[in-house]
Amino acid sequence: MSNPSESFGPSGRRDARIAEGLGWFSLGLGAAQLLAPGALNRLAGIRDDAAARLAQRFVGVREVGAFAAIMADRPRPVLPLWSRVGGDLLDLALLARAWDRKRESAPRLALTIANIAGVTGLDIYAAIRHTEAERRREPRAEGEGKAPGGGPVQVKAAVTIRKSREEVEPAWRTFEADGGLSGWRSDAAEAGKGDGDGVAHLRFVEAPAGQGTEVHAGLSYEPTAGKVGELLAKALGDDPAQKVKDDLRRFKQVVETGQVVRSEAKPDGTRTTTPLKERPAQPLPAGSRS
Amino acid sequence: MKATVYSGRNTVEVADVPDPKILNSRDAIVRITSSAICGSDLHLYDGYIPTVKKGDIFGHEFMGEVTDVGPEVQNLKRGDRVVVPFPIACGNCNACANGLFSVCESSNPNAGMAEKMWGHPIAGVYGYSHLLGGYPGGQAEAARVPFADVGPLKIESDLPDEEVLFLSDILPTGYMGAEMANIQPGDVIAVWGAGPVGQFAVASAKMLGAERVIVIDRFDYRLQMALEKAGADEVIDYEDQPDVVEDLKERTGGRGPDACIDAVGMEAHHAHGAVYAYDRAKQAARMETERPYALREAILACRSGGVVSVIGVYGGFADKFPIGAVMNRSLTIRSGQCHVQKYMRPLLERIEAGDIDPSFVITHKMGLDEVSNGYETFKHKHDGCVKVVLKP
Repeated sequence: MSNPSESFGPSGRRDARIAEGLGWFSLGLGAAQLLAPGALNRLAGIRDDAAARLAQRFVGVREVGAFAAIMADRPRPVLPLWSRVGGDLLDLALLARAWDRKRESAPRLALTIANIAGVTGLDIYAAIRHTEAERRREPRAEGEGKAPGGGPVQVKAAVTIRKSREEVEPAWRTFEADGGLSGWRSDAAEAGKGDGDGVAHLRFVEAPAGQGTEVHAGLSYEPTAGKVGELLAKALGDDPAQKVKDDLRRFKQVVETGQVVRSEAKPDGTRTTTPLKERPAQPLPAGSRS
Repeated sequence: MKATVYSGRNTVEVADVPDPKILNSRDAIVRITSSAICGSDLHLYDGYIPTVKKGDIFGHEFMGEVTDVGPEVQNLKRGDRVVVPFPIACGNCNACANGLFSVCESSNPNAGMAEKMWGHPIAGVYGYSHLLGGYPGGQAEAARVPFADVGPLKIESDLPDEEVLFLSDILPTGYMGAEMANIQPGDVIAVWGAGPVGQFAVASAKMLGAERVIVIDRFDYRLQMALEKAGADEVIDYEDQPDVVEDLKERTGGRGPDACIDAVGMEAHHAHGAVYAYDRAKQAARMETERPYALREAILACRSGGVVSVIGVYGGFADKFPIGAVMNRSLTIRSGQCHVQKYMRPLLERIEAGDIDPSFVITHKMGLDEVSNGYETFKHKHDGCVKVVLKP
């Protein structure tokens, strides 16, 4: 097995060292915050009261967590670095509040803010470098580190339809031609032409004991904004796995019941969203589409 | 039209909402002549079922007159009198084909959400949260009935609403509870809960040939109803007799009941304050969704090799579930939301034949305007309340 750092090239090695350095910095700062929050408050020019000590301790726990996450995800800790950036922004906000409410020494607090701003810059730089490297998918030594945070996402879904394969397959073509899919197949096809590797596959299998036809759909794609982007997209309700499942359900409804099933809370039928976005379970207002 | 809408924890109000209209070609619109408040509506009212939104119309037990049908509904026409089963079922999927209507694979447009909670989705249900589809309920002047060519049961005789309304839910639910108990000659059946579903579980167990039926509750008036109207043989008031498991053993020669029916569900009560406080606190903190006293007792009381039939509604996760008793004593747990469509017609025949008159559970009738009072009376069991029927 080769030396892990060999697969990186000189700039990759430097980036890995920066990330590791930030990890050790997190540990040092976090330990100080947990063990001597009062001293740290005074050093930073913040009025040393119970609330400020509590805040130091909270941030300290986070810092130690950041150290652990960076070390665990070496040599390319994309997600931990971005979460450090988030933590920095939070710290800057806390310091800005302290400037208004708990300023003990203006010069020392100003210096603290400048230092944290500097570290923020370094965190952003490291996070971007590692994200880019991840996207270029620079080779990694075998068996080293964890699976890359931004690797291809695999989506699989299946549904059983109580109809024969001879009926289901042409029905799928019609469903797709009528715009029944929410775009994942064409997205994937397009991605396949580019430098990503989006693949959509589709399989029809006869279910045992005359239960009909299984439709298996799958999708493998490179999330455009890495793991963070993928989680963000999910949180915003744009989850490709859910889209594929929803489409299969709608297809099943159309083939089995002759229609997409609608409720008043979901007048467009099966599309998984958060319940917060749904209208209440009340009849639609007069004049709306029926 | 007027409808009962949820307006926050422990409050419902009558609101003016748009009239329902056809959304799918297999829909019908029903002008409601009678509806009822179900014990499971109280779980919504109390805020224990997730995904209930303000403005949601409640009610899944209703009947009325067809006023409009979609182009694909051939079996019904305007003017028909129908009872509507609470699970919405397509009739086309494998679940429906096997008579498992309450787990219809297609009728819940929020299947994705339900799947996350329960592993697989279940059917849509009227007025029962967005998790179960976000369909408006029937405690209203009218409702849309999807898959009207599958669900609604036409009533052609002149039986009054009060005798057929409960075919929509609680009579088939109680009956299915007894049927799952697999009653054999000589069997002693214990039923937890003397609410409306418990009453019908008792009556059904007797119809299916149980030797003795023992009912457990803490309200004398409900236990009296079970003895006098439902045909129970014995009752246990667990506030007088807190060790229900021991008591049942004594009454059954040490064997335990051959089958135990839990007609209580997630908001049970317990005679011991400390035990009640434990689960009540965990439930309030959302660390468990159930207070499963009845279920725990049913499992511990049941004879080895017997059946525990669960028809009380549970939502999510229970603590201190005695799985060791289930496994080591060869118990069978059977459960499910009732597959109402499967039971409506045979039970209507039972009613027509005079085997049962389900109207005995009705203690209150009121106009839709009084629905808020109806929920409170039912929830707190004021005024001897067992079942509230609403007349829009």
